[in-house]
Amino acid sequence: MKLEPILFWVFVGFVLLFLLPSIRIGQASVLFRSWIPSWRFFENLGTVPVLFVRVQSNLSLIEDARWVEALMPPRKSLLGLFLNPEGNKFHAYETLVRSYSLEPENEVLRSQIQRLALQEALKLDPKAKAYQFKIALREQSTLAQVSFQDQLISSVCEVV
Amino acid sequence: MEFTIFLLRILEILLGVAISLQSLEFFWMQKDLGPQGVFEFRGFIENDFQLFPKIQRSLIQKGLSFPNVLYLMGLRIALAILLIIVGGNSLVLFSLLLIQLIFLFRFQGAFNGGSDFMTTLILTSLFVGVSFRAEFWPLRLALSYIGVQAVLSYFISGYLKVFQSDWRSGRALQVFIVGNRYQSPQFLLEWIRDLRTARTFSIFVLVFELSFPLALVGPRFCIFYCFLGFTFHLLNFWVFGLNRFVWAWLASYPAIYYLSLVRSPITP
Repeated sequence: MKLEPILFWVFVGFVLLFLLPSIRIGQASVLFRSWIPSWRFFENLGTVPVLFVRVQSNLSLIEDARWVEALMPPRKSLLGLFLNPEGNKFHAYETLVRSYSLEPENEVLRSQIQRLALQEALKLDPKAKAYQFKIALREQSTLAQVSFQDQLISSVCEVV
Repeated sequence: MEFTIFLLRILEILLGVAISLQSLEFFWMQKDLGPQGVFEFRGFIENDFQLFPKIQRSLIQKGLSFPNVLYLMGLRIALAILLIIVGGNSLVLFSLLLIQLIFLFRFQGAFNGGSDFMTTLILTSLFVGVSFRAEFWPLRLALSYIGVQAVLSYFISGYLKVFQSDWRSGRALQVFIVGNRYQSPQFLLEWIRDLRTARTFSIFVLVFELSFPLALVGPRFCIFYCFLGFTFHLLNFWVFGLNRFVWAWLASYPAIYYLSLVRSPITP
């Protein structure tokens, strides 16, 4: 008997094994989207969520600290056409901020955003004792000076 | 038939290159995948996979935790190199496809989602085609499906844009480029601030995307459109840093070329 059809049915079994529980928790969409994609890219203008952090060496003084836009894009190079880990990491962080902005009650996304905010806070001040982050929405409709509207602000977190 | 096999080999080589590059990049992201990293996985398992049977949860947990995820990535590179060297062995494609699906679950398309989808689509179609290699038509159908989806990727994208007044006026392109945080080149920023220039570029993008199905008229049209498509992806890399799209879409071009040659994709 040939190997190919056997592997095919093993694959079908694997997909069913993962797909059935995934459908119940809404995770299967990622599979369907990859087999029958919607091909929606840069479709229309809207609001973009942006991550801000602020840090303070003294926990009680955090309200005085200035909000700073996190996630600085990496430097570009031609080599990035082949290998662009920093650029793709930057895009993945932006996707994470977008997902969290859509699902702020999602525990996993919250803890990922918290770790991202901590990472960015420590970049601002490696000796920081406390940090706080917020998601603000930037309207994409204009080229003029951008304005932000706060969507959510975290509680003050201690750096441990 | 021989030329179809030749196109299939080119497709496999390009797909192997795309997968190798995607996988190699993860080795520079180890910190993010590790225990304190942003994309740490334990919480995800507990939250999103709670309905899975225990044995599946434990398999996912073990396979995707750090550093096992890197070993899996290493295996993926080895398999992609095999795909480049020996071609569409069904075991190689099967393994690559399983790893691809596992990563899709883990990262949920966070890393250039569109390119992940195109890679999965090509791998699945190839695997299904190769699984029934004894008859030639499933392979032809697989190539056709990849080709049709690649053509649709441009056409649908253009079709959705053309109904947006911001795209027709050039304002959308202007805002995407100027508002893009991925440091667009300075002279491009200055150019695109002029709305007439933005409108010209915008119309060019819309015409290119909407007319992409003309690539199927014949091989000459196909080469012309694939050249335009490749240039378009290079520009997207240059402006937005989307390098993975370049390689994933390039891998689909032999399938578009195949479609441009045939009238009926399942003719034996």
